Amino acid sequence: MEHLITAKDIFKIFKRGSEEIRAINGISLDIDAGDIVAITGESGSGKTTFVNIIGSLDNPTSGELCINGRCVFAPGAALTEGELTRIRREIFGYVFQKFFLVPTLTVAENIVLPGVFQPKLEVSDAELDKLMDMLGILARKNHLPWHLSGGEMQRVAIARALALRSKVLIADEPTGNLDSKRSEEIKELLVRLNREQGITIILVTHNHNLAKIGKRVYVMKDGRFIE
Amino acid sequence: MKLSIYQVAYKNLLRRKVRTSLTILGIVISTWVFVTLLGFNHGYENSLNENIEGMGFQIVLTAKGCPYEAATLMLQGGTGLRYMPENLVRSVIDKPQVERATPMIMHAEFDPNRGETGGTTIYLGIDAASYPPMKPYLAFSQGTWFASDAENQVVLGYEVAELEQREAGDLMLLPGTTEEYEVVGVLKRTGNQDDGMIYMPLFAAQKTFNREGELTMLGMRLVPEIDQAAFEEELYQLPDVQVVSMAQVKNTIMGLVSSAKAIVLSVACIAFLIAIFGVVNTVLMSVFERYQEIGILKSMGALPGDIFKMVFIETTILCAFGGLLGIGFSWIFSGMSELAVRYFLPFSPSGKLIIINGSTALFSFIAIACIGMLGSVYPAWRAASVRPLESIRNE
Amino acid sequence: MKKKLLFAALLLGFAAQLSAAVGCDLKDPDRDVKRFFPGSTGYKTAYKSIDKLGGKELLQTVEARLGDKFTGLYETIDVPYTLYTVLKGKETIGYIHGINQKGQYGGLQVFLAYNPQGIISDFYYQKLTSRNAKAMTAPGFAAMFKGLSFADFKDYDPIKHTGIPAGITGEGDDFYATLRAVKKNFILVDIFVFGGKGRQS
Repeated sequence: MEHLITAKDIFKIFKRGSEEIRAINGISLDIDAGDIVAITGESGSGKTTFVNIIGSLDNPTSGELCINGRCVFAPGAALTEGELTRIRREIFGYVFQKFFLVPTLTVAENIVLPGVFQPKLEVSDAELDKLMDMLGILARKNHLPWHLSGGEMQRVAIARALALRSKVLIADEPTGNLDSKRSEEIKELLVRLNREQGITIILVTHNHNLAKIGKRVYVMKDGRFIE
Repeated sequence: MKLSIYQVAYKNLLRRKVRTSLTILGIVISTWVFVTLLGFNHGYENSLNENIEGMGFQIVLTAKGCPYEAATLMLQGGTGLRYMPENLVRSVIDKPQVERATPMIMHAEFDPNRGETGGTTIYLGIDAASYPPMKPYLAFSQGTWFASDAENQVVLGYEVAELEQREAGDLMLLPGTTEEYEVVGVLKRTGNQDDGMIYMPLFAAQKTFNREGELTMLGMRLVPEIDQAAFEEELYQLPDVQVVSMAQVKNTIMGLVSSAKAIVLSVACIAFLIAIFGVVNTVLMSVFERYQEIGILKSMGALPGDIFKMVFIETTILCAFGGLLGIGFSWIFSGMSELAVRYFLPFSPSGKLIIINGSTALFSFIAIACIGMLGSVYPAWRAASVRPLESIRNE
Repeated sequence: MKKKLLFAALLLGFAAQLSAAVGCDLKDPDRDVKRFFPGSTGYKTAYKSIDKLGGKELLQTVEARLGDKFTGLYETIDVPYTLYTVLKGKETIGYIHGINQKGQYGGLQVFLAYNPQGIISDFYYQKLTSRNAKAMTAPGFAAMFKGLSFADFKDYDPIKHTGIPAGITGEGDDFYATLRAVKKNFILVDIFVFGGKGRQS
């Protein structure tokens, strides 16, 4: 069976003067639809760099990356910014530690914001209400972000990622700014999204409790998986 | 639910309300100056044309040297007018090129009973048959013109009548004479030197002031088809006369005013540039502030063109709003601007000096929008160039 | 070229506008105030009108006190009057006020200078057109009015020409027009300065 994402021998090398830093040092990983992959590790271990490459936000220095049956990076064929954007549009939704909500837009407007740039991606009012209801933020529909708690803001960010109808949700430290109660809520939400919607989740976290939701958990150090 | 890029751009501007307001204010002021200047350009020429048309004269014939003294006479109360022989003037009136003409005699009389140091009264002897049709804007608040052959009758300009407390039917003693004159008409206020004139029948003025057979000026309208320059040249051949063409006068005044306009235009352009730099600065600052947010938008699938468009729209909204307000202000305050222009300009014709019509407003709006759009290219390009990865790394 | 423009200005009526003769201002207030009150150090100018101060009702009061109606194109309720309050330091040492009065052959501008009690300290024609101009501008004519107060003019009837204050002599329409102007001047100064209660009388 073809994997949703296939990463083979991925290297990411940064140069600082004459020094060569191997941020990703030859990682291979296959991710299937419906997976939950959790990646943990210390700061600077290369977790975020790796998911950025998988999520088409960055190109690797070498290696091969195929997403949804299309090889987006192969030797001698780096994608342009526009091409990467198109792949992101089709496959990925992102959730970051900071929520990056637009402060002047209401909760509902923030959620449908991706549709501004993808005209085909129209979210009907019913779909929007259903999504917000599922995430427990329906009552906050017309509020501005600064009225919300951190947990609510992260749920809005997740809703925004889901509004893209993404196949894969990349969550980079989604609970990094939240207390334990809110973190637990987000954890349950991610599990539910995977179980009920079949959304593939790639999770980067320091939080061991959150990492437990991973069907596969990888620990990174110095640009490699060590466990 | 559908959100448009215009709504997003508009709401982005609401983030820093004070900064946005100040930027708009800059555009408002520069637009205001720009539109007012364009309105002035149009209005001044219009009024000047109307004034010259209203004079009814295309060409004025005077004795050599006279114009200067006539002017100083009015401005400084001096005397010493020069005169042309009436028969010479009559020969000009009979020329085929002349469609209509009206001879005049001007006289200044010192009145010792006006104030401590006395004052000068200006008389204009006119031909009651030919003068009024050439000055159609002169209207009466009381009475009417005298007959051409009337003796001891005068028509007063509004301010003279007010100063002398005269009404139609009253008697008057003219300074320097002992005869009584009847006021047969009082003119309405015109706002120009006509208000300060005492009009008398031509022959009576010549007789009263001992200037029989002499004239000061001849106002003429020419037959439309003729070559005006050639006719002026012909008139210059007459002994001791001077030809003042109103077209020349208009060109001279327009020339003088155009240098003033050039200065104001430069100032307006500088104000415009400053406003545009203000817009560029504001939008650029807001792009830098939203660096990460723009990166996230791109991670959500926004293409560089989408981001460019969003920033471009933000700038266009600023310029369009500021431009519309500026045009509105210039229209509402055109009366005030006109007062200021009248105060600062040495020569300002009567009538509306600042005319802001639809085409002026439309042209200004398009100009402002275009310049604003041009100014938005750099910030929009910077925003479009934001790489999502870099912005997220900055996290 | 400059002179040619000047002529254009004259013809087009741009520059040579005569000062509007609304109300009655001193032609050269700095000089005139000093002449009436040599000890003055300054003056304040205030613009008053019957219309603004009391409207039709006040006009009727003024007409009743004057004993004559306001008539003609120029003697109207909204004519602005200029009141000069003359100062010596901060102290008010007098007032100057002028009236436009229709004469037989032209307008008269009758200015009166008052001491702080409202008694005439000087009389001056700023403008006069009259066959008797010579006699009326002679120093003796102005001197007749000095020291008079409103009480002296209270009984003057501008229509019948009766009740002329003792010591004032003259003849002709312009003489009577002058007396009317003086009485009207008194009444208006009483209103503008003393609140219209006839304090100075």
